Amino acid sequence: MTRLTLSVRLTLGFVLVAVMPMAGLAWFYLTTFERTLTHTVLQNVSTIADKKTDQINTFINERLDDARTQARRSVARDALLSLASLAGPPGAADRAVLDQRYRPGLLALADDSLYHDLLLIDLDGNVVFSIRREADLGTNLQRGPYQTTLLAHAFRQAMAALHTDLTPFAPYAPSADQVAAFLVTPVLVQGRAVGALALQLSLDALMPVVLDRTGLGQSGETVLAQRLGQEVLYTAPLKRVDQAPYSYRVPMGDSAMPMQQALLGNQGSGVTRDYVGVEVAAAWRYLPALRWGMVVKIDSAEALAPAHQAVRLTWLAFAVFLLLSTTAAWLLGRRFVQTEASLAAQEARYRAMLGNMTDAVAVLQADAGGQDFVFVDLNATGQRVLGLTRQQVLGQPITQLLPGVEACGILAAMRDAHQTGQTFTLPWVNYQDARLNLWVDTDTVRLPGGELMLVAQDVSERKASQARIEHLARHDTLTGLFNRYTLETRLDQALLSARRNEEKLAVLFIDLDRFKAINDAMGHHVGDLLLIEVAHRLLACVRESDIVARQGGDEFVVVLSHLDGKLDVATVAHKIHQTLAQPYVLEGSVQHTSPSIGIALFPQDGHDVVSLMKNADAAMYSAKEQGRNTIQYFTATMTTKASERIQLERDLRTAIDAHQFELYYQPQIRTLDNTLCGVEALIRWHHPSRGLVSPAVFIPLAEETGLILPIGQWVIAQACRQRALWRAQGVEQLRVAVNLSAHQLRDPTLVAQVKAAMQMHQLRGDDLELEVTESVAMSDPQAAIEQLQALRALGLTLAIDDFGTGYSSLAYLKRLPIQVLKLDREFVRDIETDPNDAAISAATLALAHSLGMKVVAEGVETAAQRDFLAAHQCDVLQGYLFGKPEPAEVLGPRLLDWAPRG
Amino acid sequence: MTDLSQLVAKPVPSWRWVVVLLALALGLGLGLRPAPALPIRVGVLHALTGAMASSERSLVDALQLAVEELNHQGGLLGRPVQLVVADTRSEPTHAAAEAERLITTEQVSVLFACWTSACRKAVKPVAERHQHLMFYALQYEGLEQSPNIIYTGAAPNQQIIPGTHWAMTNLGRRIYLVGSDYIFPRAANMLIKDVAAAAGGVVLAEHYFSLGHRAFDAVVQDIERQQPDVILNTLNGDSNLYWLKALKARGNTMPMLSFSLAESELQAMGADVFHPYHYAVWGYFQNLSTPENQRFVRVFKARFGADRVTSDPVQASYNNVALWANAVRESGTDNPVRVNQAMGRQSLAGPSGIVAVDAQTRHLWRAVNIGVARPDGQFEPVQSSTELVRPTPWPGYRGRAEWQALLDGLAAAPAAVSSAPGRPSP
Repeated sequence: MTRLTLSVRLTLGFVLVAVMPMAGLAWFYLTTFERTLTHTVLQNVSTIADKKTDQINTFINERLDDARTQARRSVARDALLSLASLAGPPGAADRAVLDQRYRPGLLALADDSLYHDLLLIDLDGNVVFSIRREADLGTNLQRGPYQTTLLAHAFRQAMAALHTDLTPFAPYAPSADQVAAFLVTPVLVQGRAVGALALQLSLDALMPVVLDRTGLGQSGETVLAQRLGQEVLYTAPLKRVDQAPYSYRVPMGDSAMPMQQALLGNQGSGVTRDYVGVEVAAAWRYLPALRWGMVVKIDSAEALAPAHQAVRLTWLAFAVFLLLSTTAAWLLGRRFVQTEASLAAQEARYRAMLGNMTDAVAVLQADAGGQDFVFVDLNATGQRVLGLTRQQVLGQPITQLLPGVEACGILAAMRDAHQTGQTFTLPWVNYQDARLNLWVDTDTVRLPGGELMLVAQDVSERKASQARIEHLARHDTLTGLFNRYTLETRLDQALLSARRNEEKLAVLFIDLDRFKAINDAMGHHVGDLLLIEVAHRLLACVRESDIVARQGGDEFVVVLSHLDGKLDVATVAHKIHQTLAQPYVLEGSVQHTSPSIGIALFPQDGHDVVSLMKNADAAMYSAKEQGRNTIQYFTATMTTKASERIQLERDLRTAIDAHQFELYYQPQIRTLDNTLCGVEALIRWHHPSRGLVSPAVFIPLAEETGLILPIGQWVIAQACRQRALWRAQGVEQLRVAVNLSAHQLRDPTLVAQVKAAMQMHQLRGDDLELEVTESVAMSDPQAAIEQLQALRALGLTLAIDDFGTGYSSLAYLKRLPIQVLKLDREFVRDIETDPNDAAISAATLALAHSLGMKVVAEGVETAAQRDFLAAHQCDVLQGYLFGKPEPAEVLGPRLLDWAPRG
Repeated sequence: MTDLSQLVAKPVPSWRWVVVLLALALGLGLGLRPAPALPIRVGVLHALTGAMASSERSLVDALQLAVEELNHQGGLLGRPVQLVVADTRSEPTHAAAEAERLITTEQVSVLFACWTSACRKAVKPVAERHQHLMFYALQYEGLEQSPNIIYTGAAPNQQIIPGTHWAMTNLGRRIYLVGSDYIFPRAANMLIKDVAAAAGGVVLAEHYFSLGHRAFDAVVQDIERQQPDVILNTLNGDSNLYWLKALKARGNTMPMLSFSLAESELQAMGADVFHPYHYAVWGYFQNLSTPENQRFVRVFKARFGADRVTSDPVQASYNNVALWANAVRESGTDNPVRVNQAMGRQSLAGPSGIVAVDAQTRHLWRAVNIGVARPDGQFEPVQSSTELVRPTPWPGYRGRAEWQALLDGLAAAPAAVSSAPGRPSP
């Protein structure tokens, strides 16, 4: 079936709802009215017919009474007896005499307004008297010319039955074919028939009775006819056919139905057709006395005029109503269609908006209990997010399609919104079911009409990026371990847990030995790789529940929770120590490092994050002090040490300004002639309360805190001033050696400082020697080379300190503008006993000489060492054998006439 | 575009409402349907036992057939028609009592009653007292008219008088009268004698026998002795069989005109008593060839048996139901008073042709036919009237008072004027 347009459907609906019931009612009313009216009309017509029948019967009965009465009159009897006794023709004289005698009496018997004639007939059938003297007078009805007339027949009947009756009407020949009927009565004399009296009744006498139109209105008519064989002969004038009575005849089959029925002897009434086909309300009767059929009829048009009028009025009213209501319906319908159109436009807009929204929007309808909700609509984003099409969700309950809504709280929000009408917003809802895992922000809004709108923004991606940010915030970007911040948080949580469960907990501070050296030597890149590898190894050493964090630099912290005892900690710590001490293969090179591990235990070493961390840190420093590569548990004394160190750092910052630093100078002796050729300036810190502090204690501290730069600058300036003082005191040939730290070498102002200091004190190039350690020189060879060349350009001498301890590459060494190698005291100490050291020392000396460098041996304490070195052409010797570092005031006076002590 | 049908159809599944409405309408229709109509009760009062039973049983059958046809057409005024049959036991007093019972106890709307005039005269006061309506289907002596009876048999001018006149004209003027001893034969013979007197005839003898009388040898011998031209027979009931047997026994085939013998009686008596010059006067014979009659005979035989025959009283009884039914329809009620008012105008086309009630006399316009008996019990028409004959219960040659005086004289006369043969009645 094709879909009908809206307006057609509206019209059909209107017809259905308004027009059909009205039309049905009108039809019912009209049919009932018409039926009732028809019934009434037919009853009226029937009543008229009955009345007419009665009138006709009465008329005829009166005539019968006339006939019977007159027949018993003596005048009739006497006349008949007298006339019958005479023989001879009617014209005879004696007959004429008798005729004259009886005529007046007989005339009185027949009312001439009713009767055409009165006749006397003797027993033999001779007509012996006639008032009108028509042709039948004198004839014999049994044998004469009129033996077949109605009169003759009636005479015979009357004589046989001694009975009086009216004959049918018919044209009567002796009366010039005038239509007439006869009433023939036997005349008895003492019970014996002597003849008969006949009254001739003309049709005209009957007509006033028949044609009375009382109650028949304009179109009413009484139709009378008799049957003549197979024809119908109309016996009274017809209104609609201009034919005289007794002349118009039609075949029985062609006559009107009512007349046919009447002539068959039936009676009835009904709405039917008359003899010219006009619709009539008719009643029909059979009139036995006349052998006529009678139809009383009135045209339907007239009889049912009120009904037809009512029909017309009703349909007119109906048409008016239809017109009015159709107009009203059309106007309303147009508004409705317009409203509908604008609604449709709104809906289209709404759909477009919904469809293009980046939020998922679902419209739902609550079920009867308000406990579950059925999908009414779902926008494109919603379909994409849920992975379901609109057709799949429409009409389905949300709990069935999305079983996770209850668990994540969305369903509860919907129920609340449905009940209260408030808008519920749920941020960061994690929806989960077998199919989906979404992070959404949801808003639940109750719409007018009881529907719910559920708006969900898919924040899964935002959640992921936020998680990443959080991870970054919580984790160390390089290693992926927890950062310091997270560590503290986690440790706090772990402490809570440990406190609650009365468990032990251990904090391990791990510092990589020599990381700085590797970092300096191999570059940050390699250092980073090393840290990453360390992180991996640490993670492999601990349980998943344990915390591994990078504290910063080369410091790591491991928190071991759920511990049973110290043994566990020892096991893990030992494992970490061993694992981290394994060689590292980084970018093709193998590096070695070892951890120093400090351990603080909960609860005995601290109850909070701060104290545990501080104590573990202290333990770690203790381990370093113990010579690195060790595991150290926290002890109470370490706390003092740690706080001492902090105090020391504080003091160090003020040490320069407070002039607490002093340079000591150790003599360097030329092997060849045992003369003094130079001094090495060594810094000493005169701490106001602690006395003399070893550089091994405060130099690392200065390097950590960055105080090394001002300290180094002070050292250079002080050394230059002292050389100038000594020159002023007359010491000409003396080279002052100053150690440069790695920080200083990287300091771009270094050359300017040195130059400024030398110029200030008018020093020459050979007055100053700068020493750098091997690892410092090698960490950034190119930068170091440039810096060193700039210094060399100042004319001073450059030396490599601690040669042999690092991983010096001779190829690099060659490129450095170095004039002096210093052989480390490590080698010199066992030079007499250890063949390896002796060999290294010898090889180094040979190598340096082959490169055109001089070699200074440090830590020479015995004559045997001096002899070995001298034998291998070591250029300069330095050590307690020749003099310990001493303040300038002590050493100065001996410079001019150098005499080694001891 | 929003789908309007969804808007309309969604809130209510409309077909479900249609079903509910239809069910409601149906229930309402069933609830408002009128209770089954009470039947219209029709009283039938005829002899099922006794001397008249053999004649009257056929009338009960005819009434039953007519009522069955009415019910087959849907009854009257939407109500079924129910026959209530009562037995007169051929006794007038019992008939009167049963009529009383039918009217008062059985609450019948109409009575179809009686064969004999004795029965009619006994029941007539009952019907009149209750302003009821009774149909009487038999030819009779006339001289009566009740406002509560419709007489649908032949009045004297429709049977006795024309029959007697025909007999005297065609068979001879010397007549011999034989009849049962009750009102009809006596009144009939009075009329016959009038006709004879008017037509110059001679009544040789006049004999009456009680109903059920069987010994007729003496009368037959008297007839043989007197040699009348024609015997006019007004015997009724079983006596006719013995009368005909007696004639047969003597080989007497004198022309005879019977007024109370029809096809039913002839067939019941059988061909053994066949009388070749036996004439009858009736308005109806079974072998009338009109289509209406052929249908009626066929239906009657189909209903009650191929060996059954119809007759004037049978068809009159059948017509009576139709006349009454038409009047009921016209009045719109079965109330006897109202129906009676409409009776005077009734007419219909029945098996015998047009039957019309004459309002003035409450008798029927009828045809008059004379037939001669055949061995099979049917009649061969020898003369038929071309026109219907006006009923005249009081023949016009005497005044009404004169007739009444004569009738009263008859009623007062001793019961047995003559049961002895050979002695003419006065």
